Amino acid sequence: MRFFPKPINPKKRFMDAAFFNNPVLVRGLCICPILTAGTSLKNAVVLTVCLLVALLPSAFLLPVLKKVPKFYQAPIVAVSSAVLLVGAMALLNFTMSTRLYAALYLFVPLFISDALLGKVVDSRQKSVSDTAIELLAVVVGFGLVACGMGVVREFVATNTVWGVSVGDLVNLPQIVLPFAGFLMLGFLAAFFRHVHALFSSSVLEEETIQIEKEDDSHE
Amino acid sequence: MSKLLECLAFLFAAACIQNVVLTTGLGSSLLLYLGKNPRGLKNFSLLFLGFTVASMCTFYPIDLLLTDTLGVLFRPAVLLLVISLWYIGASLFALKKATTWYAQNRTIFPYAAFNTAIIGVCLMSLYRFYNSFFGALGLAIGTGIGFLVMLHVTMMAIDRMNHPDVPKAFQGLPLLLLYLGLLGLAICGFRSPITFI
Repeated sequence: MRFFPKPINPKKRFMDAAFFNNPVLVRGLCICPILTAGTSLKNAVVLTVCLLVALLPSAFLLPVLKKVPKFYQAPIVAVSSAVLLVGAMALLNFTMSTRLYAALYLFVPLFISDALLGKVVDSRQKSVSDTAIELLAVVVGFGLVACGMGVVREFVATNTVWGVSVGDLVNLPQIVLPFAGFLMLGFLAAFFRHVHALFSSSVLEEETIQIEKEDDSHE
Repeated sequence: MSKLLECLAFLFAAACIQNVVLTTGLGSSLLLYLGKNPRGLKNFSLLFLGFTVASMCTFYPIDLLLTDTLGVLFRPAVLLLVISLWYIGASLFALKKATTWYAQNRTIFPYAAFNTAIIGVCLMSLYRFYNSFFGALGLAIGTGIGFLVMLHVTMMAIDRMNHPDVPKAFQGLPLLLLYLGLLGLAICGFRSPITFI
């Protein structure tokens, strides 16, 4: 179920998929990797890139598989996502950071199920460009939440941001546990909803005033 | 006897005292999705438990062979291949033997097979616990039961969460996440020889 109606304009479509129908805070998707592995900014950035890789087959391969029987579609997309993620993880391990690879090894494959769950990127009856916009928006929406949570959890647990020490202000290592992630996400989702309600009511008021002015000028 | 005890220890830990959904967050997206779209929960429960046990039993012996660097790298892809084969097999079997039942429940099949709980638990079993086959079996059954317990607890809570006294911003998903967080906090108070954190 969508929380807000779907716009047609590409810019509005991007804003809709990234913010107003945020995949994490509104639709409740891709939560598991954030809870378990989104404990630092570095992890969050790698998770965001991995989500983009994991969603590629469901966004671009699924429309090609229209003639394939339905019960073959999900396995093809899942295995393709897994193979792409293996490539991404190999790149991470061999060229960037073995430590990050070890930390995220168990959690990155979890995106495969999210790629199939609830049509994160709904590519049916859409052009390639529309699908690409929606895919990018979903990744940006996820990245904002993951990075925001990652910064806060890293700072509160270890007093660092991106691995750099920023003083000795707070020390609450339990914040990296999944239950703390659930609580943080819950409050963040409520805050997001409250701000959006305020924003949409103010936009509605402005539109009403403008319509009234136009009516007055006509009279 | 010790193998049976290991099986029971993993089963009890994953299902109750270290509930796998609350302590690791595995399956949380699916839980929230099913909470919003409840359909065929009884059949979903059976399918989920079946896919979890079948995937674990098939993947465990293969996993024992994937010990070198490349094997470890390709483990997730091999696991997805195993789950896919079970999914296709189950779909074809249901399509031939129970056509009407399959037509009514075919939408829940992908969710029961491809979810973070099954993927996470199968990958975690040998990599983290070095358990025997019976331990892995206990973990799979415990995960299935633990997820279903949480699913029913969540469904019960959802009915109460749309109370008019609840602030509008908290209604629905935010309150559900807070509820799961508080349950997870409570579960952290239990001590267990097997811990998923």
